[in-house]
Amino acid sequence: MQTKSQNTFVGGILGESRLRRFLVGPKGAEVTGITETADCKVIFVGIQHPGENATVYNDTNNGLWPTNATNGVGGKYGAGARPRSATLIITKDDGGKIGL
Amino acid sequence: MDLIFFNQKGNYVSLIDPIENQSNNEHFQEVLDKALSNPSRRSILRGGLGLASMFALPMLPGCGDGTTTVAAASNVLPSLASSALLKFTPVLKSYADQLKVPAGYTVKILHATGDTLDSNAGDGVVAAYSNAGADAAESWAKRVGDQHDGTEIFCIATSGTLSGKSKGSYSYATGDKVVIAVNNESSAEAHFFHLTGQTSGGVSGRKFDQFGQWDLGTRPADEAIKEILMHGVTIAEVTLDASGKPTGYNSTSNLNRRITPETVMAVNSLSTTL
Repeated sequence: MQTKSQNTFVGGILGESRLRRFLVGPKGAEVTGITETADCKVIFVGIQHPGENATVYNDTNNGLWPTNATNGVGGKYGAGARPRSATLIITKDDGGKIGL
Repeated sequence: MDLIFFNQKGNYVSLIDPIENQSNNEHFQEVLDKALSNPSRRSILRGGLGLASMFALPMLPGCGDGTTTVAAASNVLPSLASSALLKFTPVLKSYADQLKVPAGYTVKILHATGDTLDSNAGDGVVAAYSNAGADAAESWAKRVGDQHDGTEIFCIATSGTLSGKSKGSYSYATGDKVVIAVNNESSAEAHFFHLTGQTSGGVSGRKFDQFGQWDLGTRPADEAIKEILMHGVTIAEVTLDASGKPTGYNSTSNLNRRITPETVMAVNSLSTTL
């Protein structure tokens, strides 16, 4: 028997125009530290522990970003072949605001 | 709130952070208990308890019971101008060892673990990162730390004429210098910093991380130094093009700085402020 009722919070429907996947990180990485410039035209994003699932220092099967050539950041970064955490600079090619 | 109990050694153990206090120092909970045993110091918990109450209130039995009519909640959000809605083509899920952003965007690396923060010749230059474990241990005091995490931008006026900006601002003005501060969070991937992985008890090729495989064997000093210095904060000057758009970082800037566990600093905590 119902004796009382209780309203609960309802999440707003975001829809396609308010929630979209903007970035996917490399193997094993956690995406962190997003911050943007005051004009909204540049964002900085952290890529933490790429290659996290490597079991040994020279594991080549669990991620080498950003030392691999096809890495989405313009080619091999730096020396060596071990994965490295990094901070990214992301801009829109037409100079506009990120996401819009 | 954490759940804490005593183990057989009489030490506090946290259920949320199950790593025992292996040191001879007091557990934070013991410091807090001592502070709270003095009635004049109990005010330190007001903020915390107030916060707990705020979150606990909606859970109280009977809350919402009664005659008050609450309007049915709506899940339709207020409309936004078209200029405020997302316009890019979403990226697909991916397991590739690659960074993916929508078409029409460009990604560059500002800096990565181990990059030199002092490539000035003549004053103890820190060489480019080997990424093979070959770097001098102490050089990590002037290298970008690891595990890039929380990030913040600061714009610094160089002319001295922009009142109020000398301590840093979030808004860029032409001529400003810009630094990015990054928290270097943990030592989870420290095995990559050494020639052949981490060494413990004379055995190399090991990997220790935050998930509990540490065997507490004797570690080489150079490995320990690197693993200490990779923590902290990295502050690096950002290079800008003519329009003020960031292009990378300046490895010779005197604004570059590392804060590490070895950085001398005054720490104000419960014991010094109560």
